[in-house]
Amino acid sequence: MKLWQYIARRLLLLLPVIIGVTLITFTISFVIPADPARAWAGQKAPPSTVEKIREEYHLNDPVYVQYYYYITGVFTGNWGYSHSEKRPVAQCLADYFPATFELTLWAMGIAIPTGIYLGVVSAVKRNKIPDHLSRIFALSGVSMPIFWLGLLLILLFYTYLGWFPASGRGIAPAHTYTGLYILDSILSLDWHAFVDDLWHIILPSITLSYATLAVITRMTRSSMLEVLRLDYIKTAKAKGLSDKVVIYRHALRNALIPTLTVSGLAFAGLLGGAVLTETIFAWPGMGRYAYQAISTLDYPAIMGVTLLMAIIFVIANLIVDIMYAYLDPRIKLGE
Amino acid sequence: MQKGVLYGIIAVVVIIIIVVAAWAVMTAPPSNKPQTPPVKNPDTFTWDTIGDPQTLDPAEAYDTASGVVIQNVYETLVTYHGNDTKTIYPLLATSWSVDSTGKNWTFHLRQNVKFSNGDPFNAQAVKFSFDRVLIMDSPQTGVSWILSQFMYTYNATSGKWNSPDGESSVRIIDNYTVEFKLREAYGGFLPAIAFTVASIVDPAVVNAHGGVVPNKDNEWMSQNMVGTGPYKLVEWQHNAYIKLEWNPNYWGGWNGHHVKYVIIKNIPEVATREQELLKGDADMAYIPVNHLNDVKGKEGVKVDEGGLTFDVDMIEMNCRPTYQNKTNPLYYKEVRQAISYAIDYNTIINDVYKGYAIRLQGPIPKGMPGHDDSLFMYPYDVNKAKQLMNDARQKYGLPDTIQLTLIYNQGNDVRAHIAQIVKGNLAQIGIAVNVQELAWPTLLDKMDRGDYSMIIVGWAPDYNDPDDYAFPFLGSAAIGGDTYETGWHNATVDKLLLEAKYCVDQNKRIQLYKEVQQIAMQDPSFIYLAQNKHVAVYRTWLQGYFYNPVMMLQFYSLYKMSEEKS
Repeated sequence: MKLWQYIARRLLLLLPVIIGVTLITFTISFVIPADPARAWAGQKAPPSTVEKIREEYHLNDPVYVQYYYYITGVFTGNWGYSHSEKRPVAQCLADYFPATFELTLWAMGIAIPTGIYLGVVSAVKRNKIPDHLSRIFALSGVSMPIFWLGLLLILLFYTYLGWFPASGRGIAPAHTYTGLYILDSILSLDWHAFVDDLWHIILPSITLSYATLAVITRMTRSSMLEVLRLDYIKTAKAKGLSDKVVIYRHALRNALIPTLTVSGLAFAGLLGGAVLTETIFAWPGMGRYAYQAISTLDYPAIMGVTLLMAIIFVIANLIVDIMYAYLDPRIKLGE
Repeated sequence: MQKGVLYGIIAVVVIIIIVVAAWAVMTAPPSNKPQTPPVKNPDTFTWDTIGDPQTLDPAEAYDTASGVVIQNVYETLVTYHGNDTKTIYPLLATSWSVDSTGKNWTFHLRQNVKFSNGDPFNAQAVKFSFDRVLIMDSPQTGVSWILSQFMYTYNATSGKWNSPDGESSVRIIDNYTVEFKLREAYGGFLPAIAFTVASIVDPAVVNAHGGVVPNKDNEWMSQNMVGTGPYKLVEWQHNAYIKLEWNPNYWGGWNGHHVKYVIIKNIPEVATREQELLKGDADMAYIPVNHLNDVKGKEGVKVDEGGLTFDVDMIEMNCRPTYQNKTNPLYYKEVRQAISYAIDYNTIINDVYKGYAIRLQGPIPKGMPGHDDSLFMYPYDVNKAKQLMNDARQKYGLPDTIQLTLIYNQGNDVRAHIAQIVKGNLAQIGIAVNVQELAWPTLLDKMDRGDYSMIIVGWAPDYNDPDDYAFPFLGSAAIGGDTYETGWHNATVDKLLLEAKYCVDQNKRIQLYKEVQQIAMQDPSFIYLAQNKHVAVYRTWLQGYFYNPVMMLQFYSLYKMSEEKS
């Protein structure tokens, strides 16, 4: 199967995923014992307003009718109206998703190379001081609460050293192309915004990356240890190849498969689970929006976030699968 | 591999430095703390707070975060000054008069006022703005109810106003004079039109962006603003910040001291707000009372205990005869009185509110017209409560132990604490309280359906009038009151409330509300807990701050100056 055929087939599978995910989320939203119309209108709104909202958003209709309205809307580009923000869900996602995506990209940009490097060092120097230090570092990463780490970083690097700001994304670039501030500031040649935005993303991205970095370190270390024991590594060494070539070209490439799986899932997970980092650093992202939507029963928003996350999970997995084939030519796509 | 070793070591060292440095800094004596920096960004007021506006359209907005921005960009005909809640002052109207019926008001408008885009303010804009609120009828929030209490409403089907002559309440007399022909002579008319819903918008701007459509909000107006106020909207990054800058067309002028730029930052984490305030990057920060000790006494920070708010906290009681198909003990007045006697109010004020509240004396808060300083308040008297409960048990055949639920909204620490104290208090009189923490939408649903025993609730003012408190709390559903769905109904109170609502003799109104409150205290449907105090936390270089319980923070009066200069 050709690559494009494989990608097309996988993307087609998105359709049942979308229907499945929306159906489940929609059903769960209706199990919650609450009146969404009252929650949307607010406590002080007169009963006539609540009734008008019920009618306008078909809340008096059976659940399956409401679902029909929703899903046909989704496929025609109408993702519903976010009642907690009083504007369309699509507009909210267009604002918040790039913020979280940018933060996650930076976090993964820190976590993947650093994690792999530390994992390799740890495996190669097994049971020596670098290994111990790296393992301590990884252990603290998986066990340190994000909230606590974020506050510590603010206290040190903002309050006492004054190196980095504590909140927000920084100045909005002169032009918006992608919603990713740093990229947009480069594309707009807005260097003032570029520096400011770069400064703003450092602390939150370190905070968000640490747990993932730790997992990648541990995963790389264990798979490297397995690979380094294999015969072909001995053969490579016997042939007189340098340590660097053996480790990075022969061992690491094979050891990366499990790391890749973890990274792919972690990327999608961070996109949806950045709520704590976003809260501490006042990062206007999707995690906070999702939290706000859940606490106000803004279910068009809950649906929108869930749907987007599902699509991202599918795409992230697809990319990971394609990269498997690149890393290990024995893996054939679609077979 | 030497690099790898180095890399690992550096990483671990960084972590150790972070932890040790943070620990050292947190435990260091105060003398080691950084010195107060000089005034930062003297022209800009930065406010770290919580919450994002839901909409910037005054015809739709009904939340505090929206109100703050609206009240600094748009203006109303009348307003309040400083911390004075007693007097209504001119704003876009310079003077007004009312006839003997109380239904016909004439407003003379301020001349030479321009919107921030240069468009003129005139009688046309006033009529357009009020008509717009009633035609739109705020489909998302219902805030238009404030005006439709006393103005003619609009019939979207027939396209006509529900008035004798088919016209709206606002009539243009000349370019700078308007007349309001009210449907009812409402006692709280002037306070009501000082609320943001009565803000004056630019007709040309609205018409250029979607116009006025019955029962439909205007998306453009919800995201953009053109007003006559001192500031104009520069940028709104949702959930991040709002930037305002000075409106050069502002009729009030820019002589004297004023901040020219305002940044309202939405920072959900209190620790982050605290750090930005201490560092001087924020000029003011929202710090809840249970965190005040973090900033009290810090150099360059002022904790301003600026008086009483009109924000009140109460426990509502379900007064219906039955609850979940069983006899409802709270139906009986004696049980509700006993509960009112059994609550240890002082402990709640001191332990929960840390002293930043006073005991709420009846439904109308202290400082608001109609508040009665001599109104009876239930003392904490367990013996009296026990006696009342025993009498009620015998009289109505109630069981020895009564089971009640007490609900509060998820994540509200103050109410969680109150619930635990109340549970302990009521156990003393044979009432077993089952405390339930529910998500806000679920709580509202239970309230709407009357499916509860007791709920801890709060209320903040829409406008400065007793009708905004007494009517929704004590009026029955039959007359459009009972917002809290207590099911409490008293025909005399209903009659008095309606009479007071449409009475223009303010002295007589006060007497009517006094009577209402006395009846309500003898047959309580609420446990009146607390009236919150206002605490503002800001840098000492911030000048011109004042607090008014019925107004939002006014940026125009603020300016920044170091302590030595001020």
